[in-house]
Amino acid sequence: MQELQDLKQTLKTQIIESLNLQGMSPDEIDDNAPLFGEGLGLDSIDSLELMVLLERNYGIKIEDAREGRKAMESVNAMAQYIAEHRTK
Amino acid sequence: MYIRSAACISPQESFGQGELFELALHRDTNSMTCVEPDYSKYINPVQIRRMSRALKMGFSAAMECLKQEPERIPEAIIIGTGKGCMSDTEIFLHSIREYQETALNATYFIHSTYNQLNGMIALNKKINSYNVTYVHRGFSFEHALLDAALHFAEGDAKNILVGSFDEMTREHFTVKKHWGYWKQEKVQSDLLLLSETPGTIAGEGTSFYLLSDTPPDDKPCAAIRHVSTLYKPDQQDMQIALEALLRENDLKPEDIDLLMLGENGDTDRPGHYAWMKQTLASATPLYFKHLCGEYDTATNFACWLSRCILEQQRIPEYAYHPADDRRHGNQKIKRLLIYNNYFDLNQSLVLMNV
Repeated sequence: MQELQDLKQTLKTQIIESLNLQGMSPDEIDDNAPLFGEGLGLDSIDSLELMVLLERNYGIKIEDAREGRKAMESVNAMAQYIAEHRTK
Repeated sequence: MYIRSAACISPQESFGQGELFELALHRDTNSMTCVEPDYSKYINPVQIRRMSRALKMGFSAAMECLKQEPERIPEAIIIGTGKGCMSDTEIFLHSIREYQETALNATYFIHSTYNQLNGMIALNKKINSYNVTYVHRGFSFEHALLDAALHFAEGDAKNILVGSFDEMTREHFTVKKHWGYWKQEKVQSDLLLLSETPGTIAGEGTSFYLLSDTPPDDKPCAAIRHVSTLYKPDQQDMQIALEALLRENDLKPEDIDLLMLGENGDTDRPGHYAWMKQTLASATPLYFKHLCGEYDTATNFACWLSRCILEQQRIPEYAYHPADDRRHGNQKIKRLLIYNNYFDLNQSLVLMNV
């Protein structure tokens, strides 16, 4: 459980760095808020950057777009997906 | 082509005011970096987080230029750049090596393409018409001007946004230093023209113009009358080009009031500056590379400075050679000829008047 909490915290920091979300801290990202549209307000280019983040940091390559959309719904969903599929 | 509005970001405090800056800023680093404005006035927070310095500078200059003439919507966007967004290109190339051609960032790839700035301006202003980027090294800006001139001549457009952008990065500076482009010793920029060693100092900048086929009724307006490009010209080529320029514009050599020269203190690449000064002896020589440094589209900074001089009928002291006492005096300034030599390869003549 603690491991998943730590993963979420690391993931938030990586999202901020990777997407250059200037002036934002990990605490400002709600675990359950949608990453795209509402919530964090990310767009389609950000989704490509998040795919790169998953591949570089966790060895996860998402081939199916529908699976990718689900995996990147929120920080919670991303952390869960990483925990289940990570190769590094 | 009448310059309806202009905006310039350069190593000088040239942005926003649309007038000549009073005092020149100097550097002693052999690389002149731009004085950057507050981008938040021109770019929204979502866009700005992805943009490199070159894009931010170019986009802000274009927006400021269009803001000055809100009623005029350009029917074409034509931009020149020698190298595009160098910093994004470098980051992308490093990623290719580091991640062995896998898991590469989309943003850096997109922004490393030369026409990124054109696209951003078009999307922001919803301009769906002609949109071209010229990437011709030291001729890039000149070709953007020539393309605009063709559009006006064909009657295709009444207003065209023309500009250029180039940035200097640390890596690009280092590579060109190895090739002998920059001076080995540190030179203070205001003393560049007195230098007697090979190489010059690096620079960067962006300028945009809203060009129109008609002048405004209520104020003096500088115009670009003629653009010639010459690749590795010898003196005879220069003479032919200059004679053609004078003939086509029905001018005599003494009709040119000012010469804006791209001399850059490089003893290895003297160009034809001495010949030009001798041939147009009645024109007062002015200089600009000690203000902006050397880069592919430096002619654009010369255009911006020349436009200010022509419209304001005032020559700032910093535009003269520091070892030359000759001054233009109070005679009206009607015509100005820019001659630029980019590393003895790309050389151009741009005739402007008011």
